Amino acid sequence: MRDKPEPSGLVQGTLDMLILKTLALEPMHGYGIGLRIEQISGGIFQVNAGSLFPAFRRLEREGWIKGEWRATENNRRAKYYMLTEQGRKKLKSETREWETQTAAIARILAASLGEL
Amino acid sequence: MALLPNLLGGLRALFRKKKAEQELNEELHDYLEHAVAEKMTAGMSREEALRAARLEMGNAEAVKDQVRDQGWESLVEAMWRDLRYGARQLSKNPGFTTVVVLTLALGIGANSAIFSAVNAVLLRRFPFPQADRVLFLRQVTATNPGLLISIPNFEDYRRQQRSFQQLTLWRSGSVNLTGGDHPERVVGSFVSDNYFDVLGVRTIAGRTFRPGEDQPGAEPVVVVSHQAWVTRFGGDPKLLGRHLTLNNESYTIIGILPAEFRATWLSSSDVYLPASHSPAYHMDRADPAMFVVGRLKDGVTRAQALADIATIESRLAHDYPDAMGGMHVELTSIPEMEATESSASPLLMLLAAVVILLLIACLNVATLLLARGSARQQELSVRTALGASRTCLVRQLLTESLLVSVLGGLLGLLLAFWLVWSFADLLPFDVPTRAALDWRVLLFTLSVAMFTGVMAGVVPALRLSRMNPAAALTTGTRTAGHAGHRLRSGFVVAQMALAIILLIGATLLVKSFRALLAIHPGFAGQQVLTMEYRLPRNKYPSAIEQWNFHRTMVEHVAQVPGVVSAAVVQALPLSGNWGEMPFTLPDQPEVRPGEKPTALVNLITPDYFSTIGSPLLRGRAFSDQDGTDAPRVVIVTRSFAAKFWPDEDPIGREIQFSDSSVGSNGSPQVRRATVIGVAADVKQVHLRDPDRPLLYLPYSQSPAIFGTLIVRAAVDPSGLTDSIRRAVWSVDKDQPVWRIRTVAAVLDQQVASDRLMMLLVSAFGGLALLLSVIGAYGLLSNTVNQRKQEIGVRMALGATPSSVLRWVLKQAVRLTLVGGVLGIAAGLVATRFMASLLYGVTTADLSSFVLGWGLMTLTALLASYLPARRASRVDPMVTLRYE
Repeated sequence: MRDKPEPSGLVQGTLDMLILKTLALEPMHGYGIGLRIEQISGGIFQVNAGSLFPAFRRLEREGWIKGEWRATENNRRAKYYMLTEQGRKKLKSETREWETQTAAIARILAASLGEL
Repeated sequence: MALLPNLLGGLRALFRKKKAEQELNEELHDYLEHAVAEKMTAGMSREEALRAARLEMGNAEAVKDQVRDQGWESLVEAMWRDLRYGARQLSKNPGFTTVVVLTLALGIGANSAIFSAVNAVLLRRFPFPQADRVLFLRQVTATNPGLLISIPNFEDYRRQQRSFQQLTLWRSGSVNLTGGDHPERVVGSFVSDNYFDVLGVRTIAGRTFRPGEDQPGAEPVVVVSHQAWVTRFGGDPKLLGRHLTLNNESYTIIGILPAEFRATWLSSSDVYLPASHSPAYHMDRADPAMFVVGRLKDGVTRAQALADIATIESRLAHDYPDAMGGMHVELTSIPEMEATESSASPLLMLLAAVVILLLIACLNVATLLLARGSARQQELSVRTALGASRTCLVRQLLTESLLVSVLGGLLGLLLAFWLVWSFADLLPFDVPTRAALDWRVLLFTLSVAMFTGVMAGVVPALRLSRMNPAAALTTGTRTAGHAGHRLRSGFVVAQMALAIILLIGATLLVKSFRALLAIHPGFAGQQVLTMEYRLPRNKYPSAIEQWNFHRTMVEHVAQVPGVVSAAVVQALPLSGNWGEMPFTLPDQPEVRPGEKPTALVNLITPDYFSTIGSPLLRGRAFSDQDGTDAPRVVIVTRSFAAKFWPDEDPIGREIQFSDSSVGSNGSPQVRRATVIGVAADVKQVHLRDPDRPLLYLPYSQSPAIFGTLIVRAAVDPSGLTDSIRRAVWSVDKDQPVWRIRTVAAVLDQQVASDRLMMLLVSAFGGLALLLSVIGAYGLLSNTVNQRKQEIGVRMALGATPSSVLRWVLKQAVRLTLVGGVLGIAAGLVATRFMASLLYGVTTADLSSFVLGWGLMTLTALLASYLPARRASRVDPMVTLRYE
């Protein structure tokens, strides 16, 4: 077994963005989305079913993603989610917003008295 | 916002629930399978992988719950669940539900019924656009409301004014319609050619008047109302172009008005005729002949229009001082003109009464909900213990109270419909009340029902949801929170106070009605039949021809078997007709025009006093010797003599007046008449008026085209109607008579609205009494039931039955005392608004207050005796063993 880094809680409201980003790469089923987030984050973010599925329902209702039943690689039926046009726009604006905010936060955290 | 997918997704979840659930299950299962597969690749056995994956995923049901909570449909589902649960709870307690729904139905139904009258009368819609910009011009003097304006003045206003789009003439009156089997009377409006342009009304067929068609000499044309078209002419599609004989003249029908054009002063006639055909149309500047109506130009305010008209008026007053002395102009809109105080205040009082009744019903239901709540403590505690939040409980309880109030509202609406359909004709308003059962009434009822549900439910819901489940579960149903009891006592006290207000109001109205009935009208009208008629002026142009008709008709009618005597009076007392005229007294100092004294005036034929049963106090009545060319004579009433010749003999005195005031024929002349008699005072205008000075002139010397035939019969006069009508037609076969009724009916109509107010408020008071007594009884019975053990212990320890009886009664006395004080205090304030409705009794009438309060207190104490006696008969052995 590999050495797992300590899992961390998600910043409030970022799960939606992460799901949208994951789906921007390729359509994916529920477990795959969770796994992808965990892998890309290097194991920092572990998202359980209790957070994932309500988020899917929420994003579906907003019209940002849509679900489709497809056959999986091992010939089972699974619900694949994909990004809609609206979702793509949303992801873009969310990303921009996020970058602005993290940059600002980074500046604040890096600040020392001398710079003020 | 993605509204549509959200809505569709929610609806899908609601209506294809099974499919949605299945898909969610499948998705979760798939998730688990993927997780297991992943873990097995990492080297676990299937069992290990499954356990680990399940552990990671957590409770699948919880996940599903969380998913469901994401959509709005979950709230709908929760409410639906509450509703079903509430309905089940209510159907399990049919007795409770019936009482609550009936109570609310009474309260809401009474409100809807009264609101439909308010809707019809006070919130009425006028059948023409922007009715508040259609104004009546009035020339007011100190003694005259100045509704009528002379034609020459109208012409000057019309030419010189700058503020109105147009000015138009209007006056309504009875019109004789002949050519059918019998002569008939229709109601006509005599109007200028631009009348319908001013109101903004178009015909549904044909046309309105063309310019110039209202001038003397123009071809006679008539526009008919929709109602006349349907009822009188059977909806004849070829009505246009047909001829009607109206007032002995042939008119061509040129247009039919829309059905909505009705039910206001300006729109309630059967036929609309050119103004110059009105019998009142005179070119005499001193003779106020017709109403003047105008529509304001856009952007012109009423103040500007008033200033404009006032300038013209002062110019006219300067040029014609005799005709225009002491006048000023006023502008009054149609809604103001028709929304008279007389219909507004009884309606508002009734509305206040039903609102009070509804409040009592609310409090009553709130008390019942609280009482049932304490019985439901265990159920609620169990639900709390199982995890229901307080919000959940409040929502559940409010849903139940809303459910009963909506049921009550529906039932109340049925009640209101029934009330309005059965009793609308009794309402003393000329407005179609039935037609007013429209969406406004529905909306009003719905809002009242919702309001009631929340009002009655919110306090019990908040109170009951605040319990401590542990305490309730361990001690069982025995504890009735002390605070809950205080709250319910408060509700009962408030109900009694409100009921006392209604009872005091009802008592005041009963006393006032009795005082009204005790008024002597000045005549004894048993077995007297009356009917009205108006002679066409073109058939009876001269004074002598008019007088001949009246005289001959009275002679013919007097011959009818069963008739004791007959007479003609111009304005039957209390019929709604009356006339007033200025006069001077030659033996007294001269006064300026406009400051002349005025008196009521009436025309009569010789046998009038004996026929109507009004005594002549002094001198003689008119007789055949007072002919057209004989010296002019006049009879005054007692109060006329007392006012103008106090302590002197009025017989032989002289009175001077212009005969234009009493329906002139041709150019008006100043007349001087000698007083030959003094008659008793009569109530001419309103039964509740003080005695007003009145002058009687003989028809023979001041003939008029309008008259009211009065016939005294030896037997019940209603059977004589046909033979009397035939007697009239034997003089002129084309002369219709109308408003055929007995004098007793005329008198009864005077008090009809007061009787209705009295009966309605008494009924509301009775209901209020019943509800609040039920409230008090329920509270005390409940207390006794809940404290049976305590009473048992007390009795086992030596309390006597009579001391227990006193103990319960003491509580009842305390409740009624507090309620009584509050009710009397509130009554003192509330009854002040009734002042204008009362006759012969003041609003602070002590005996009414004592009666209203006493009735409530006594009934409440009597009702509380039952639970008190039950308490005193508690068997200590039984209750203690039960423990």
